[in-house]
Parts: sequence; C-alpha cells; structure tokens
Amino acid sequence: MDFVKIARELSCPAIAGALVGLALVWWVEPATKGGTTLLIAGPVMIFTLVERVVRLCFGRNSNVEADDS
Amino acid sequence: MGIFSFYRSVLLGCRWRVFALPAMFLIAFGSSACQKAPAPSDAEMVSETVVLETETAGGRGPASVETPPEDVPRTAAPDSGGGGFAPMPEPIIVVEAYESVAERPEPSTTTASEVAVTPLEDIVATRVFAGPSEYPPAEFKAYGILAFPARATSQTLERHSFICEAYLARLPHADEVSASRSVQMVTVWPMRTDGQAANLNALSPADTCARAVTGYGLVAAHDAIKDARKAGHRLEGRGPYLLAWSPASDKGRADVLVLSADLSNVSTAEGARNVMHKWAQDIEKQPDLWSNGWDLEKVRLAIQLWVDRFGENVLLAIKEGT
Repeated sequence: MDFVKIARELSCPAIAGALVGLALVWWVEPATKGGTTLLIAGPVMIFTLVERVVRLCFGRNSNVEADDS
Repeated sequence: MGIFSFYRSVLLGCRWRVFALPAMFLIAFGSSACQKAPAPSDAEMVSETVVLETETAGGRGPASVETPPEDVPRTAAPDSGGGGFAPMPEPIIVVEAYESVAERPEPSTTTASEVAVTPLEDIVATRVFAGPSEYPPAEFKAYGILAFPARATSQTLERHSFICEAYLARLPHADEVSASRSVQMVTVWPMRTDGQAANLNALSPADTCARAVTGYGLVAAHDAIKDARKAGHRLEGRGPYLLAWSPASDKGRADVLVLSADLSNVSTAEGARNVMHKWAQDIEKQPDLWSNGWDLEKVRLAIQLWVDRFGENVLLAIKEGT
C-alpha cells in the first residue's frame, strides 16, 4: 500500500516535525493556505536538517566501516 | 550502517523522545490556550479604598483605633535600653474600610499613613478622523494614530483599504459611544485637510474607506513615526504602525510611554482585523499596564501574520517553479 510505503520512507524527525507543525497550526490559526503549508513544512525541514547535522557530526562513517571490514 | 537501520536504531533507542517532544509542545500550547481566561468584567474591576492608621510617637490616633491584643508581643522602644529587640516600626492596624472616597471622613492630623485608591475608570477605545489643525485631539484621555509611512499606490491600495475597513469595523466612532471623551482612548486616522476629516466623520462606514485612503494625512503620520522613534521604537518595516501616547502631551519626548503595534506583516483582511482587535484590547487597559514586552498572544499574532505573508509567496514561487 502506498501509504505504508510513504510512512516507511518518512524519517522520525519528519514525523515529529509534522506533529509540531500541526500543533503550531492549531495554536497560530493561520488565515491562508500558504501560512498553513509553511507552518507544517517549516518544522519538518528544520527537524530533518537537525537530524542530518547530528548524523554528520556523531553518526558512524560508512567509508571507515568499509575500510575496517 | 544503512539509513534504514539507522532510523530503526533511532526508533528503538529513543522512541519516547520522538513522541515526547511534540507532546510537550501540545501540552505547552494547550495549557496556554486554556489560560486565555476572559478579562475581568467591569463589575469585577471594583477599586477599594482602605485607610490605614497607626499611632504615632507625637500623638494618638482617632478614637476608633483598636489596640492590639495584650498577648501580641510589642517591640521595645528604641530608647528603652534593654530587651535586646531591634527597633521596629509600630504595627499597622486596619481600622476602617470605606467603599468610596466620598464616604471617608476627613483624615485626622494624627494619621500616620493613608492609602486611598480612586475608582478605576473604564477606558473606551474609539476612532476619529482628524485634520492637521485637530491633531493631536486634546479632549481625550490618550490618543493613538494609525501611521502609514507612505500613501497608497496602485499596488498597495487594496492593502490600505482592508486595513481601513478593519479600523472602522473594530473601533467605534468617538461620537457613537456614550462615554465622555475624557475616558476615551482615541485612535486617529489623519487626513490631509480638516474639511475631509469632518466629511468622513459624518459619513457612514460603507462610503468612508475609499476617501480615507486617498486623502490620508501623511505629514501627521511621519511626525508620529518620528516621535515614536525618539522614544526608542524601531519602525523600519513597510508599516503601518499603530502608535499611542499617554498622556497625549508627552508626545515627542524621549522617555514617554508609547504603545505600538507593527502591521508590516499584515497581508490579509483577517490579519488586519486580528491586529485591530488586539490593539483595542491593549489600549483599553490602564495606560500604566501598557507593555511592549513579551506576551504570548503577541507572539502568536506575529507568527500568524508572518506565515500568512510569506507562506503565500512561497506557494506562488513553488507553483511558478513547477
């Protein structure tokens, strides 16, 4: 099912960001469609970006892993 | 480590954190929304008058002063020379409470301290169109101005119009309300000439905005923006700004209380109505409660205006790009 595939592809930070975005939409009550989109997309992008940065800084390097093996 | 196994480890390792974060947001915002208690009604805003009287060293208080019970330890007098007590002021005894200042008898000459709070006046937020000679309006308790940095052009005409409509919709005209002008906090829409202002004050709101926008009094607006900058406000956006001074005679001074609202991010009629509503609520507080500091409702409004303004642009850019 497509929905399951999409859910599998989505990362944890994206899901968390979407939830935060929905909470912001509920609180801020934007008047336009663009505002709603921005409020959901913003946290998703920020959370995903933070995850990437954390991974780059603290995640294991796959090249080193390959060399070690 | 593959990306999928990384996510699996994140999911297994800190699942509770992933869900705790949005839950904390929900709880925080939910509680703040629940705390939006209604403002106290007029009937509840009853001021109280309390007269505090104490015995003084130089004489006795009025006959109604009650002596404290014998079992209450009294402090030693400073010159008593013993007892080891530090000299302390005489205790304050509340002997009478009056509902109004008129009821209270003349204070005795032996009264040491007296605190009398006069009843709170209800400030009413109103509006008026004013020409150059009528500005600033003198007879009002305090006044504000809707200051545009520039007159409307063909590109900004629609925005000026819906801001004007929100102004007319939220604030009643100064002559409409029964309250005297001395308790009104008027927000002025400056006009180019006194005649235009008089005409608009007599017109019904349906016909007003088109004329109000075209005949806008830019000089008064620029003066107001300049005076607010003197008081330390940064007004660098596209505006307009709602600016209020209390008292009105302090306008132009550097160290005065100025209430301001920036409408630079207002891009929709609904946003304009929300800002006007918040403005009316803010100025109807006592001026000494005016605050330009951090306020959760102000933050919410600022985020709303910002995302409404830039969200539409982002969507347009995406549509044009695809």
